[in-house]
Amino acid sequence: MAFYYQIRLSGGAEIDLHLASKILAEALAVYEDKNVVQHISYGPAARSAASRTDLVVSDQEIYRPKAREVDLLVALTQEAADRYAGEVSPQGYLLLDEEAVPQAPEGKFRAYRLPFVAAARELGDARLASIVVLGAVTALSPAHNRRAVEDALLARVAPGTEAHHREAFEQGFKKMNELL
Amino acid sequence: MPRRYDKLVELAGEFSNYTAKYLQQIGAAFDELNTRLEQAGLRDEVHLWQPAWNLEREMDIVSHVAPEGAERVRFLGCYYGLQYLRMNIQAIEALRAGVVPGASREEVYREFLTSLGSSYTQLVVTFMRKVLDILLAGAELPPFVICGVGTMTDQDDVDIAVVVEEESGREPLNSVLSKLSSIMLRYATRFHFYLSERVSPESFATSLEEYRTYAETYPGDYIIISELLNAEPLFGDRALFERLQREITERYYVDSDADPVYHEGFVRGALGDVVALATRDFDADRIVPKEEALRIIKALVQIKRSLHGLREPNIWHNLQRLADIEPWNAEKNDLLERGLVFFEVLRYLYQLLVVQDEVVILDTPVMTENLSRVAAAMGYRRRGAVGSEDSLLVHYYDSVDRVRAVARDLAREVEENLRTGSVFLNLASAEPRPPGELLKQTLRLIRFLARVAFWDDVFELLLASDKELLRALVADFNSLPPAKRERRVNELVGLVKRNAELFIKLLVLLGENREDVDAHELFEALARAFLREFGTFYNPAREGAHLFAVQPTLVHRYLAEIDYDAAKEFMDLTSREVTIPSLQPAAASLRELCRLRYYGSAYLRRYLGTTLQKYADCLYLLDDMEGLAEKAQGILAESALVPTPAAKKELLGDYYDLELLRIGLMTLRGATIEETNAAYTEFSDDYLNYLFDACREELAEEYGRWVTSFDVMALYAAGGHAREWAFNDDYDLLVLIDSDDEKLQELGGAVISAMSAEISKRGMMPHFRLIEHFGSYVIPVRQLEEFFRRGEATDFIEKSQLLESRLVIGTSTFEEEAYERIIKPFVFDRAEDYIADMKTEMASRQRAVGEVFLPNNVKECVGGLRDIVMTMLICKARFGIRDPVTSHILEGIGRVYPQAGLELRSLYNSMCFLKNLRDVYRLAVCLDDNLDFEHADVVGEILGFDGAAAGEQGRQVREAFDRTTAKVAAEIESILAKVT
Repeated sequence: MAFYYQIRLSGGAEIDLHLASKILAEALAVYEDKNVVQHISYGPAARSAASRTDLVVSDQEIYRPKAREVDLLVALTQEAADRYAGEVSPQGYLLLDEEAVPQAPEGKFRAYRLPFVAAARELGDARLASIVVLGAVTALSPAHNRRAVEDALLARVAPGTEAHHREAFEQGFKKMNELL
Repeated sequence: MPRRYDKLVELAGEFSNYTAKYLQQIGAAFDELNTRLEQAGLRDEVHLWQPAWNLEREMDIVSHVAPEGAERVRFLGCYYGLQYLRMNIQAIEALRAGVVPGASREEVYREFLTSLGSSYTQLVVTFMRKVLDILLAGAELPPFVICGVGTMTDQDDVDIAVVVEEESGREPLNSVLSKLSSIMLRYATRFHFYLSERVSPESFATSLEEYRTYAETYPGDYIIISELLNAEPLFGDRALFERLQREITERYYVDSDADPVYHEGFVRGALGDVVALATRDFDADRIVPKEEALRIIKALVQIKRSLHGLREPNIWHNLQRLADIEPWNAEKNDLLERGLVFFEVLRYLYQLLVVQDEVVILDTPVMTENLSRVAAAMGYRRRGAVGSEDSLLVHYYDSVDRVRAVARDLAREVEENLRTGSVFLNLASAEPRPPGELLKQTLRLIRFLARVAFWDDVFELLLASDKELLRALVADFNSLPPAKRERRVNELVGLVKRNAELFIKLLVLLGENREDVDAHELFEALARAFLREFGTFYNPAREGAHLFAVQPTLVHRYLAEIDYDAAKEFMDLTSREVTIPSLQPAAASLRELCRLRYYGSAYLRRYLGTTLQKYADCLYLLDDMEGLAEKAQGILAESALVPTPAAKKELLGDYYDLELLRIGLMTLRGATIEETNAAYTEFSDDYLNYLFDACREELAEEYGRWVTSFDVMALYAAGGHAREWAFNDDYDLLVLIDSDDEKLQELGGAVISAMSAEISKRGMMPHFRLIEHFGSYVIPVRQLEEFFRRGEATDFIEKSQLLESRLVIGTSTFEEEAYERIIKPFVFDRAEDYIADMKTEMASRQRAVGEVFLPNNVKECVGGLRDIVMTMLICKARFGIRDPVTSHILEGIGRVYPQAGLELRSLYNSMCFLKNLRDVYRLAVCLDDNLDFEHADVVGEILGFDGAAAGEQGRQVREAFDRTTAKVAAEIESILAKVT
C-alpha cells in the first residue's frame, strides 16, 4: 500500500513556519527521493493568526495535492488550533505551543503541548521557534529522516549560524522524544 | 670527403636536426680515419658505407688505427655516426618499401621494430664497450656492472644503472662513468642514469646497500622498481648483477619468499599509474604516445611480470608468454601487443624525422606538415580531401581508445586480485589487539606504502561491513590519551608531502563518515594539520593545481567537508601565481572552485554538488561560462535522444542543475540583473517544456493514449518565474484546462503530478496556485469563471496570480480564450475594484510587517520587492496592459502614462538593485529573504562595495538597502497617487 502522509504547520506570521515547511519538503524531495506537494497561504491569509502551510507526502505520485485528513498538525496559535483541529485524522497528532494555545481542542487525535516559542526565546531568538518545530516534527513524522532534515536545514541557513540552528533543532527533537 | 658523404648528407637531410651531430662527427674525423685505415692496410676490413659484417671486430680496428686515446674515441664516434645513419636510412627505406598498398602494415612495423631494435642495441652497446676499454685501461676499479634498464630501442636516450658492491672506493669508477657519459652524449646516444639520480644522487654508481635502503623506504616507487625489473647486464661483473637480482629485485615477484608488502607496493604503484593514464583526457592540440598509450601498456606488462613471476625483461617476449599464461585474456593481450607495435613505430619515426620529443604538437601548419611526413613513412596516403596525417591521427585516437579500454579491464582484474590478497586484509581480522595497536599497525602500513597511487580497495575495505574497520580505527584513536592522539596525527600528516592525494582521500573519507563513526575530533585535527603542512610547500598553489588536475572531484569533496575558515585558508594558499603553463588551467579552475566554496551559499553549492556527481569534467569549466553553457546544451540535446521518458527526466534534471549553477556563477561574477534573469528564464522555460513532454510521453505509455493536448490545457508560470526573476526557492505554477471531460482533467492532473515530483527533486517546491479552492492541479476554466462570479472578498489574490502569470506551455489561442473569459471580464473590466482591494492589501500588509518586525526582509519590507510587484499589478490593471509583469512592464507603463515616467524609471533601477541584492545574498549567504547584514560582507564585496574592516561592506549594503527601500516607498506613493 502506498505511503501517504499529510502535515500542516499553522500559526501567526511572526514565526516563519513557511521556512520549516520548505525544509521538511526539501528533505523529502531532494535527500529522500520521496514525492511531496507543498501548499502555502497567500495574501492576507498568510498574515493571519491561522496562516498555514501544508505538505502532502507519498512514495508514489500524488494525484490529490490538497491536504484533507491531516496526520500531523502543528498549531502555534489558539486560532490555528481551533480552526484546523477538525481536519486532523483520528490517528493523527496535534502539537500545540504550550504558551500560545491554552485550550487544547478536543478530538480523537493525540495532542501534545511543547514550549516551541519559549525554547526559541531561551536560545535568544524567538524566530527560531520554526526550527524548534522542525525538530519536533522530525521526531514524530514517520516520513522524515533526521539526517536528511538536518542536511536540508544546514543548506538553508547563513554561514556562522549553523550551530544556533542545530541547537534549536535539537531542542525540538529532544522535547518531542521526551513526550513520546 | 668522398661523394658518398654528400649522398649520406642528402639522405639524412630528411631526419630531425638531432642527426646533424653525427654528420658533424663524421665530417671532423672521416678523412683521417680513412687515411689511417688505408695506411694500415685495413680499409677493406672496415665497412664505412655499408652495414658492418662484424661490429665488434670493425670497431676494434677503428679504435686501434688511432694514435692515442682521444683520437681513438673520435674515430669510434665517426664510425658510430656512419653506422647509425646508415642503419636508420636503410630501415626507413625498408619500411617504405614494405608499407605498399595491400601489405599488412602491422606486420611490416613489427619486422621493422625487431630488426632495427636489435641492430641499434648492438651498435650502442658495442660502442660503449669499446669506449670503456679505452677509459678503463690501467684503471683500478671495484667490481661493477652496467645494466640497461629501459627500452634499448629508444634512440633518444639509453637508460642505464651502474651497480657496485659497496659505496667505498667507487670514486674512480664515477670518474670513468662521467667521461663515458660525456662521450656517449657527444658521439652516440645520451645516457640517462635515472636510477642513480633517485637512489644515490651523489654518484653514478649505486651500491647494493643503497638499493636495499631505497627499496625499504619507498616500496611503492614503481618507476624505480620497474627499471630494476628491466635490468639487463651490458658490461661488467655478472655475479654482481645476479646479487642485485637476488637481494633487491627478486622481492617484487609474487612467488618470492620476501615480505608480500613489496610486491603489493609495486602493483599498487603501477596500477595507480595505469588507472590515472587510462582515464585522462586528451589535449586538443597535441598527442603524446608515451603518456597516452606506451606507459599504460608497459606498466600493465610489468604488473603481469610481477604477478606471474616472469623474470625475463623483454616486453615482446613477455607478451608472448602472457598468451600462454592467461588464455582468458588472449584477445586483450594481443591488442596490447598490436598497440605497442603501432605506438613504438610512430614515436620512433617522429623522433627520427621531426624532433626528439615525446610531445607531438598538432596546432601549427608546420607541425601538420611534419606529421604528414611521419604518416607517409608509416604508409598512410592522402585520400581525397583527407590528408595522410589525418588518417594517422584517426588511427592513433582509435588505438589509444582501444588500449585504454583494455587497460581498464585488465586493471579491474588486478584490483580484484588485491581485494582478495592484500596485506591490508590482516587489519580487518578479528584478532585481539591492545588499545591503539590497530591504529599503529595501519599507520605503519600506510606510511610504508605512502607513495603508491592505488588505494581504492583499501578504502573499500575501510567501509566494508558497515564501516567496521574505519569505526574500529577511529575508536582506537578516540581511546588514546591526548598526547598520543597528537602523535598519531603528526605521524599521519607526514603523508602530505609524500602523497597529498592519499592524505586528502583519507581526510574526505573521515569527513564524509564522521557522524557515523564518531570521527569529529580526528577529522578536525587532521584537517587543521593538513593546512599547516600544505602551507609549507614552496608554492602551495602549484601543489593544489597539480592535485586538482589529477583529482578534481576529490578536491571538491575536500572543500565540501571543511568549514568556512578552513576553506578561506585553503583558498588563500592556492591563490598564488602558478608559473608552469600546463598547470595554469587547473590552477584557474581550482581558484574558481575555492571562490565558490567560500563565496557560494549552501544553496548554490548544492547544484555544484549534484552536477559534479555526474559531470566531474565541469570542474574544469568553472571559469568558462561558454563551456558550461555548451555542456548544458549537450545534456539537453542528449535528453531528446535517450529512449525512455525516465532517462529523459533524469537528464533534464541534470540540465536544470547545471544551468542554475552556471547562471549562479555568472551572477557572482557580476552579470547584470537583466542578463541573469534572461538566462535563467530561458533555461527554466526550456526545462518546463521538455519536462512536460517527457511526462506526457511517460503517461502515454502507461495509459496507452496521448494524455493531453496543448489545445485544451496550458501551463502558466506564476510568482517569480512569471516575472522572469531568477533563483526562486519555489516554482509557482498555474494549470488551466478548457474541458469538462473528467477523464481529460484526470490525465492532465497526472502529467502535472509527474512534473511536480521532478521539479521538487531540484530543491524547489512547486506551488500550484488555487489548489485551495479547486483541490486539483488542473483548474477547469469554467470553474474558475464560476469562482470569480461568486466574488469572494479576497479573490483579488487569485486575480493577481492570474494577472501576473506568464504562459509557458500552451497555445496563443488558449491564452486568448483565457484572457477573454477571465482576465478581461474579472480584472480589467473591474479594475477599480481590483485596485482598491490591492491598495487596501498593501496598507494592511505594511502594517503587519511593522508588527512582526521584518524590516530587513527584501521581499516583504516596506519598499521591498512585494510592494514593487503589487504596484506593477495595479498599473497593469489600471491601463489594461497585457504584457507579463516582467521588469519591462515598467517601461510599458511609462509609455502609456508618461506623467509618472521619472518615478517609474527610478523604481525600475531600485527594483534592479533590490533584486540583485536578493540574488547575490541567496547565492553567497543563504536562501532567505530576511537579510542578515552581519553576514553580508561577502555580498558587499561581490556588489562592489569597498571596505577592508570586518563588517564594513555589510554595513554599506545595509545603508544602500535602507536608502533604496525608503526611496521605493516614496516612489510608489507618488506613482499610485498619480495613477489611481
